[in-house]
Amino acid sequence: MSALLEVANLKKYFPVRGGLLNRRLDDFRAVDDVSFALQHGKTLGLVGESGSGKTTIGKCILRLLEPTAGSIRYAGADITHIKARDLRRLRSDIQMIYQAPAASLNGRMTVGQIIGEPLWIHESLKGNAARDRVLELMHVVGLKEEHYYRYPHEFSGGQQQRIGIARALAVQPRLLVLDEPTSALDVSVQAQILNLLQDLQDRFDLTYLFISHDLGVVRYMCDEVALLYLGKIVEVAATDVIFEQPKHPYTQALISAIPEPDPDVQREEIILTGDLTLATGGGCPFAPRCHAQKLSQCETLPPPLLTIEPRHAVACHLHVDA
Amino acid sequence: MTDLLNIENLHLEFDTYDGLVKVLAGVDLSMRRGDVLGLVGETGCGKSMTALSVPRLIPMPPGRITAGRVRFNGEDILNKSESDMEAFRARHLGMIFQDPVTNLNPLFTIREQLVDAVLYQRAGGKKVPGRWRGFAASARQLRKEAHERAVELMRLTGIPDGDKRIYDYPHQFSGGMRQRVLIAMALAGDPDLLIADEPTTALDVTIQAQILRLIRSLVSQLGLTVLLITHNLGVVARSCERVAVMYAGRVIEEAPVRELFRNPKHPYTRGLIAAVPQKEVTRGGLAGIPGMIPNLIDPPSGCRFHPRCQHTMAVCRQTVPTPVPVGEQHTTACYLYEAEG
Repeated sequence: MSALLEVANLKKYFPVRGGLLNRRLDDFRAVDDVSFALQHGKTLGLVGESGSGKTTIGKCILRLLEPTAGSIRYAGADITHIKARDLRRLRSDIQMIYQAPAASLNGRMTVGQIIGEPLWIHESLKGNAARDRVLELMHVVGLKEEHYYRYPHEFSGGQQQRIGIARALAVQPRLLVLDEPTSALDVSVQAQILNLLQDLQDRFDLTYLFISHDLGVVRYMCDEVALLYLGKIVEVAATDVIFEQPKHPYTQALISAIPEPDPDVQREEIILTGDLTLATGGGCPFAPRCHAQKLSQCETLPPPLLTIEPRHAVACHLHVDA
Repeated sequence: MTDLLNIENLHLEFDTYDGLVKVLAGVDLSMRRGDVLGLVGETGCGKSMTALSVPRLIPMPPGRITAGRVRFNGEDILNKSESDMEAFRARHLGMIFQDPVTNLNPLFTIREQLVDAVLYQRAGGKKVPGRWRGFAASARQLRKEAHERAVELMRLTGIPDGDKRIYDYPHQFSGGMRQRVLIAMALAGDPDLLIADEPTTALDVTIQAQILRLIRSLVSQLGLTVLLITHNLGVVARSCERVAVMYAGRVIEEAPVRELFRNPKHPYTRGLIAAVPQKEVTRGGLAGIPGMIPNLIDPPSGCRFHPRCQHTMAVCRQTVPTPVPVGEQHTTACYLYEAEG
């Protein structure tokens, strides 16, 4: 079975300018050689702290950002450099849902207009036909008919996120890039939205790329998880493998840092020192914060992402021989 | 032993364009010296407002306290004059907030801000001697001592190379380090009570773990009393001894942390705990709470949770339940337990 989405050696560098004549001094490597594949109907979680490059990957897939290098294949076709005309067709297949529901909805448009706009752009639907489709979509995401003429500010955060989901579903996408869809919401509302997303996935046969920093949510939503650290994948495996047998020291620390709502959870707490800073030298990016036993090559040689078991890859010098 | 902090039947309203918002409707809360109390609830439940009523930082107007008392060490603080209040804040309270970026002035070095905090709290809220008065030997001595205290505070809060980094500007610090600076500032006057309003919400999980560990170690080192406000039940489970759960302007359940998670009584608390994705929950198994938080301009009658509750009885719609004991140090305001109490 071929994957719906394949990302190979994706790089996105942002120029760091400065000095006389605003010259390009250096590159900020937001995404540095990332590869993964996403199977049809599955959910892949991209997890990392702020600055790890997870949102940049999502934007590159939608071609909202131009990748510096690498390739992105969607349904077997290379979409890394396709032209603007083909891009429009692609964007009805791949849609994105954003973190801040209020900021991603136009405050001067009614709910009906917001959800109806993609129908008009992609399918030239207008009038009653569009209205019927919009009402159907609103019903699907749990909005009521009387919400049609209301404005986004009249809704709570959870309801606004439902509007965003309905807008994304309007063009019948196959792949949804969900960028922190619930991190602005309260837990009781977050549970509602997560359940809605799972229902929609089953109902419309959707594939999700789920970007999040919340490991608890990722454990609930995803089939597979990729952990990012400073633009590189450090570990990727099936969700239960990541949570039961994490191999990379960063994964272990991150899992131990999840605040579980259970005071009886006894576990070894790994507290990392320092924060996400750029590693100097050519070694492992995580080396300055690593709590595991250090090898001589950690500081000098970047560890390659190696498959240690079927469908489990780790980028760590400690797991090279395994 | 008397309570360090005692909030009794506090009612707070806000005048807005849309109408009168009844933000707090009878909050009861008490803390003893050495307590670490978590105040939990969702957006708009009044947890921050309850905490801000202690330093009296609620803007009035539009805010208005219509009933209730806030006592600190037995003293009623709602009747204090503004100048007494300033001295009170400087001597007894420390506060840290959610956003470590906006709470530091980007134009001054950490040294200037920390030294100011130390001098302010030493002076008991009186005006800090200006830099131009630094010619006097006594003022120079004061600033020198304050500088030493500032470096000491940075060491206490785990900022490496405090004696050098104190000359840096806030933008040279990362989010976690800035939060440490703010904690150092809050501790400058050896406060009796530290109010931490969502101190880790803006931070990454690994940094959050560092800050929570720091707060825990400060509690054991300095015997701090901490009121920790958060929406994250996991943070509470990790760092508090006692928890009070708020919903729509009232405390609806209060218990020691283990008891609350093991044996939650109020339907809202149960829903809240069930809504957090935990290890055992499999696909489709996550339970949310139906509906959404009520509009506090026109709050539901009786128990404010009744429109979302699965166990609503006739009495729930009519009168407000009072807290009843349901276990050791465990109270909940719900009519389901009235008979037992």
